[in-house]
Amino acid sequence: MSSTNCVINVNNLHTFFNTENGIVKAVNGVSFSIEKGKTLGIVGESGCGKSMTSMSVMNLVPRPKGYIAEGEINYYYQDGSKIDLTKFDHDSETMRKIRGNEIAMIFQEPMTSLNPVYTVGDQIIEAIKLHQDYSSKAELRERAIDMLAKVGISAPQNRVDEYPHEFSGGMRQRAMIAMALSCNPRLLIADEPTTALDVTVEAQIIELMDQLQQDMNMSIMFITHDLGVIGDVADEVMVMYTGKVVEKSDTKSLFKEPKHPYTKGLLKSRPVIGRNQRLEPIEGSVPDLLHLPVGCDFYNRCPRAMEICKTEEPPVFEVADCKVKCWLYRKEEQ
Amino acid sequence: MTKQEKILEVNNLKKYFPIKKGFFKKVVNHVKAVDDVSFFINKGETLGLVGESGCGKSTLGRTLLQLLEPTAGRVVYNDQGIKKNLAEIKGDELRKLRRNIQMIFQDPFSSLDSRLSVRDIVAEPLTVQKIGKNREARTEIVKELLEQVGLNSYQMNRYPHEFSGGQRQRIGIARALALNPELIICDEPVSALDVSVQAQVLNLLADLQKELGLTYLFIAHDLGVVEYISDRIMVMYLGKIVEVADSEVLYENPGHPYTEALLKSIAIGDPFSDKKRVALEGTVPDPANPPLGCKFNTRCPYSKEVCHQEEPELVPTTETGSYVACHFRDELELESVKSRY
Repeated sequence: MSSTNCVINVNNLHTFFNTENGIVKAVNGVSFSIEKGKTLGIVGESGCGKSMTSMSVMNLVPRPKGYIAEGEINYYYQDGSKIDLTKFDHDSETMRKIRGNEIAMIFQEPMTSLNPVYTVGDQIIEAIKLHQDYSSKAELRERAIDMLAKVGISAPQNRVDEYPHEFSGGMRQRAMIAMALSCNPRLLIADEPTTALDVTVEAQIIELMDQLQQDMNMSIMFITHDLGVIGDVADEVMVMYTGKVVEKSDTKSLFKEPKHPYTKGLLKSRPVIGRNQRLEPIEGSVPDLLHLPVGCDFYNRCPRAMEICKTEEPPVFEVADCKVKCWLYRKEEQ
Repeated sequence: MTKQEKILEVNNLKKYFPIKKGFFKKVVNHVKAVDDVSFFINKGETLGLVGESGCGKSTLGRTLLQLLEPTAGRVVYNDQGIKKNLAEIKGDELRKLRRNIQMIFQDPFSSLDSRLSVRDIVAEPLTVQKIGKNREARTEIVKELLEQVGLNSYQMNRYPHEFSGGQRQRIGIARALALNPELIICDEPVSALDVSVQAQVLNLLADLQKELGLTYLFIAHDLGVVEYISDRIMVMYLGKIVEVADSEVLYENPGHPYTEALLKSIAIGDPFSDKKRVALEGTVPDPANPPLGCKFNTRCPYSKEVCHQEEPELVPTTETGSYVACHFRDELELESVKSRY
């Protein structure tokens, strides 16, 4: 795993929340790594821990209730040296240098994640000023205009002085991307970047991200609930359920031959144009994270549940380069 | 198609929102959210309505129900053979007619009163319309409705926050069904739901339609969802209907360049496909200052001189019979979405 091509390696990550009713295990033993220039897709339904995984990587888990209980987040610098982000305080100098410069993030809601009382230009300049050495104001402004042009905003020299409310939804997301990329990060975390956008705008944004990834040889962690988007952008996909990874494989095998019953269910419950079949939804709903079943978390919704699933939690099995957390893939069943 | 009974007929419907400026709130301009729209819905069918945000699809839905007062035009509802123009009816008579037309909203969180129990939420339309002899009788109806949408009747004394998004949407559906409506306007009913739950709700809506003979106007922006549920589909752009076609025809043989662009920008979701999604350039123009001529001319790859001068009418094409508002409806060879999968 410690190959020089690796940008980030997360190992057995546990992120917990203390609540009045007990400990919520939002992220429960997640491991993955992303190579340079590759895109890892994280898919799952609301509450599966996909956003908390990304917040943990940024060391931005809401305090004081949330904390990283266990695990390592190894970040590899350009020169190959590595650093475990869990060892640092969220407001330490090291963490601040990493955020923005090394790892940047874009969020789902471009309206709420931009500050309405500052111009778009000022917000981009703020990010650059914090992380990089630019001496003069003119130089900073020039750089902000460059960034806006790079993300395809027309007339950036005028747009730089406008406020977020003067931007359309798609343009706001472009501005967010400009801000995130202004310091040339090596890893971009995109948390549902297109969920709030129309299909036409979504297509534009994804095209833009794809092109910027190639230009900057950047790695992307792409979080979404939309399997259609994942199929288009990701090299590798990780499917999460109740804070755990239930399946991890390269995108092609996942679509061709999904292994975990949950992944199969997700693919079947998605309307695909021209398929003309009745949808087969996954029955029931996601269990409460405070009251997880004893065995497999997916047991009560699984169409292929067996006796053992009720009592024992499945380990991760390796099946032809894929990792599946399901008893169906233990040796005896094959 | 002409043999079927039309449940709702809309003629030249307009909804303009004034833009006011200055101390005296002088009206300086209008946003034409719904601009001269005519269509009909057959009894028992699902008519899909798609378009980007801000194209006026939700405003259209609300104007039909008279939740927003139309600026001009007629909304004729067929009340057991008697045609009534909803835009002219007021007061009690309108309230009675509203029994027949109900609405399901997008956001299952804000569309339910958080301080009412589920029983009270679903019973409210019954109380308003004075249906059911007494409280007990209404409670019985509520129980039945909840079972019908796949909830347990013992859950009726709980409050909305105790339910998941999908369950809340089921409550919203139960409330819409309470008055035995004929037509339900579904405004993005599954957009806020997770994929697995979205499929449950879509199947529920389809089953209820079969069982109760409902008619749906299904507003959505997800073209996959719309294809799944609709018999016919209407595409809207900047307050205008640009295409109306049978669901299959629309995807196989789009007639309007905007429809083609929408279909091309769907995520393909198949890592084996060598086709790429194609993004439509530019953004939707400001609805307060739409372009002259065809409203799509600023983004249309096929636009010519005439598109900048004359606004095309919504008329049938010779080939497929779809209604298309484009000057070149019979000349353009547009790409079928089926070739992309």
